Amino acid sequence: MTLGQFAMAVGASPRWVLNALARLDLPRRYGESLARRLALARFVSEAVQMPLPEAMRLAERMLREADPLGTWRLEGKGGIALVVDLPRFFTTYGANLALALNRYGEKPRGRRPRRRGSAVERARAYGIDLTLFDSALRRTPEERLRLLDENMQVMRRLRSAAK
Amino acid sequence: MSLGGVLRGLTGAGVRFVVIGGVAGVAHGWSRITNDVDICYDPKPENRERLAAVLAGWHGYLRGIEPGLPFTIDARTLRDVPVLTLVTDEGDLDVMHRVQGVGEYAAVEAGSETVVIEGVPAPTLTLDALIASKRATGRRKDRQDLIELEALREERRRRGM
Repeated sequence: MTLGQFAMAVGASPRWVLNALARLDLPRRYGESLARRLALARFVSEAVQMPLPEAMRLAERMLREADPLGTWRLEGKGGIALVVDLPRFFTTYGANLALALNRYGEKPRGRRPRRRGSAVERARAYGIDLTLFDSALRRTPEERLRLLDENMQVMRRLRSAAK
Repeated sequence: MSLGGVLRGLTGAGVRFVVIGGVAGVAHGWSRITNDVDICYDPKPENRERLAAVLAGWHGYLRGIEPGLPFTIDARTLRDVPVLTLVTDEGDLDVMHRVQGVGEYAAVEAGSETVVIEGVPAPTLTLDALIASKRATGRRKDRQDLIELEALREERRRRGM
């Protein structure tokens, strides 16, 4: 994972991740296991205003000891208890991780290139095959989507065969 | 297992949604092969309930994640998570309740037009709104898409479409 993907999986900004790793004295190795621990530590830290290093220790303990399909409970003093709904945590974390793996894309740095000429000229200069427009625009939207659907089915069959 | 199946399932359950992303682009003439259907849904509680029931019925699970991670698909998950990338019995499906560059569901719906897909009339994001969303996302991989979509819009205008 890149830093951006890792941060998305944790549910935080890249800056927060870098600060957290420095504070926890952890190397910048952006793996899934660390993302999971850090995401849980962040949840706990924010929910009960606990310092991050302490929340991280608690998160590691929770992930080691708890039933992932149940709740984890820590009794404190004076009848106060911390209860964590782990399936709910894993659902949110998993959704963030899937988002990071499927939809994350780096943003280009620097200025955008100046737009010269018409959109068609720019596309041609970029190397896009514009003859495809012609065949697509001759079809009705329904025909285009039927063709897409057929392609999706083929891709699906290929993916299943490759498994 | 088809695009029509996805849309029939959603409309049949009374889910309010707009088709966005690559499928919307193809409806307007974009020559793009996409494997997933992206939809933006109305986040009102009753609609979230309906959508969650459909997704659960299709055994929706997180795409690209090893099986075994506890995952609950219900209205609360839809409320808590702005974008879900799923694999379902009906194919890959991404669901969200806002579109970057267009806005929340009401704006997305306002920026849509009805396209008949396999006999199902489905609100579909207009080309202008699709371009706005690609521009706002600003990812490197969206750059080529944006160039292509802007050229497509120009070509459609030239043809009076």
